[in-house]
Amino acid sequence: METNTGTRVFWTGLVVIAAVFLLFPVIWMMMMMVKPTDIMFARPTEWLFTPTLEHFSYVIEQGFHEYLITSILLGTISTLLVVIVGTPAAYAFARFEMKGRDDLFLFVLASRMAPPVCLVIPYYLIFARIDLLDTFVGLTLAYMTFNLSFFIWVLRSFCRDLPVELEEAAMLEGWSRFQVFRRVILPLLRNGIVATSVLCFIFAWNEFMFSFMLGGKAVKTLPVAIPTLITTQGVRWGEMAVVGVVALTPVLIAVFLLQRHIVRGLTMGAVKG
Amino acid sequence: MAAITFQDVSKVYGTVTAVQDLTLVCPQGEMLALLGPSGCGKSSILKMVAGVESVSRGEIFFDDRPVSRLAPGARDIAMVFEDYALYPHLSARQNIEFPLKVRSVPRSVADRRVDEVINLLGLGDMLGQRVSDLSGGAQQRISIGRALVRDPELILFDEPLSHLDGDQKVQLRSEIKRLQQTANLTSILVTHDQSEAIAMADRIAVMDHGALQQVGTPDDLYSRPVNLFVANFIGEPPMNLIQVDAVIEGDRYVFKHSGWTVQAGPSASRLLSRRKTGGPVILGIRPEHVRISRTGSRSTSEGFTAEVTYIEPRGDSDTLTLSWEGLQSLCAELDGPSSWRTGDRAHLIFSDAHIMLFDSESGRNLGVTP
Repeated sequence: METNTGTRVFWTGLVVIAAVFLLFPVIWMMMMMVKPTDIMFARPTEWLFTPTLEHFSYVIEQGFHEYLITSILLGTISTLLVVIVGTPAAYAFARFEMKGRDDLFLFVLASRMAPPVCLVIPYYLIFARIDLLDTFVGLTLAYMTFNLSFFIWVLRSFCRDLPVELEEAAMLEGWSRFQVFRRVILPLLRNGIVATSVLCFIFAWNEFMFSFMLGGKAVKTLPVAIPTLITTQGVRWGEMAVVGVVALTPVLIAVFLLQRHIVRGLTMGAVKG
Repeated sequence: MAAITFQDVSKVYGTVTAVQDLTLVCPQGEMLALLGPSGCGKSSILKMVAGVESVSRGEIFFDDRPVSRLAPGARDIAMVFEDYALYPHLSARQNIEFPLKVRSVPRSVADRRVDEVINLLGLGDMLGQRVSDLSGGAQQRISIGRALVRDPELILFDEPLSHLDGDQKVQLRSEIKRLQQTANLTSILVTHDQSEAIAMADRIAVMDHGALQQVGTPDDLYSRPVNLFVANFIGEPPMNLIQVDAVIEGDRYVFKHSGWTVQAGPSASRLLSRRKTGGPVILGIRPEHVRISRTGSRSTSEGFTAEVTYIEPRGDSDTLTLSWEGLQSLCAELDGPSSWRTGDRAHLIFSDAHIMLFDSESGRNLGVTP
């Protein structure tokens, strides 16, 4: 396609403006992270200052690194379990004829239909009975419920897009259903699984309500820990910025590393060959 | 390679009967085509042979071995699919060697066998490529290679050419036929395209609504269709079917239609006199057997006059639509390019040897004893 310089400059400019618009809050947060408290909200804004690490030391004193580890573990483990349980489930929903399959499939979404706060109360009561309150295991289970429904729902459509002839061809060669699943279906679903599970991880990572109600003081994730920086002596903006940037990092790293799969996975359903 | 026998095989999905009491034999080394419109049950038959669908009633035999309870892998069948069903995560060569790998055939044997198949199909230059980058024809040839590589008892072709372009289609069609004959493969071809079935198969089984209509060589189906369905389905353009009254006038039979009366020839008369019940019959005449001429623009007792209302030139032939009395029409096929123009008056004669007569109620061909 022929493009003249004028239109190219226009579109590039538009992209730059959009990027600045999206990135500005992040850049602002990164500046706050190292800005001394006394000039935090100085007017006019001070753009040049000697960076300080005071906010970092406070955050570590308060044990935020432990919350970070909890968040990472909880997000990773619950997502892994969702993938392990959800992939065969999605495949079964896509392929096997069974009575009431479509009703059951709709019901999978039930845990997503109500606001989380409605589910948290029954969870609290049940967990209190079976001693799962304030435990890592309990919180992992709770995270699985809402992510599993999302994962199954999305991955089923990936499964349905795979031609059934591929499986028939492999079964004619003598493979069992399980072998076909493991050696034909799984490799083909890889992009879909990666894209969907990254979204699951992000949901788990940002989750507040379940963690707040069911984790208590014992299992504290970053989103729950952040409000503790609003103290009786005022809001600790610098520390909040530190935690915010740290919370952003793992997700960004994951997205960058898996970019190829995610883009392909997210567009797989949209563009049919 | 084995012979395949279907014995009273039925397939029922819920309340729908997809295949009804099919009894059919495909001898060893033969290619049998299952031909019919979509929904006629031909794909269900193929899936039952492959084992990916269960058999509701009846039994399928490979030679004298019943197979309907065996798992797909235990039947030793290979299949070529409509949309190739190649594994997109494997290269062309890996796709071909896949069946051998699954059976853990020793490396050296497998390599030799794969090379043989590659040479047979002329696939040499595309082996390293990702299969999704190849043309449809190339993908289908790889899929045929995958089917051939392990010498199966039977190869099933499920609409193998329907996604290909014209010239690739013709090329692969003759290639499959050549392979099938040189390797003496027993194979079943499912297709809705009669030209494919006629070009490739030794015998054709015509299906409709789950029931077998007729099995025979392409010539059997063309010259001696057992009923209206087969008569209408085989042949391009399709056979002209005209409802007429066959009555005796004087000492001979005549066909009466609105607008014309035509004398029946000796062979048509013989069929009519053998018929026990009277009344209307359906007269069938293939477009290529309708003779038309300019001479004698008036009707005679042998033929009648009609007007050319449409001409479809096809290069080597012209297909003419001829009408009389406004709505009634039939097709005639002539060597092309012809000098006929729309609006011309033409004299039509149905040659006695080519007329077929069908019972208007049962649709049975009166000239074919069941």
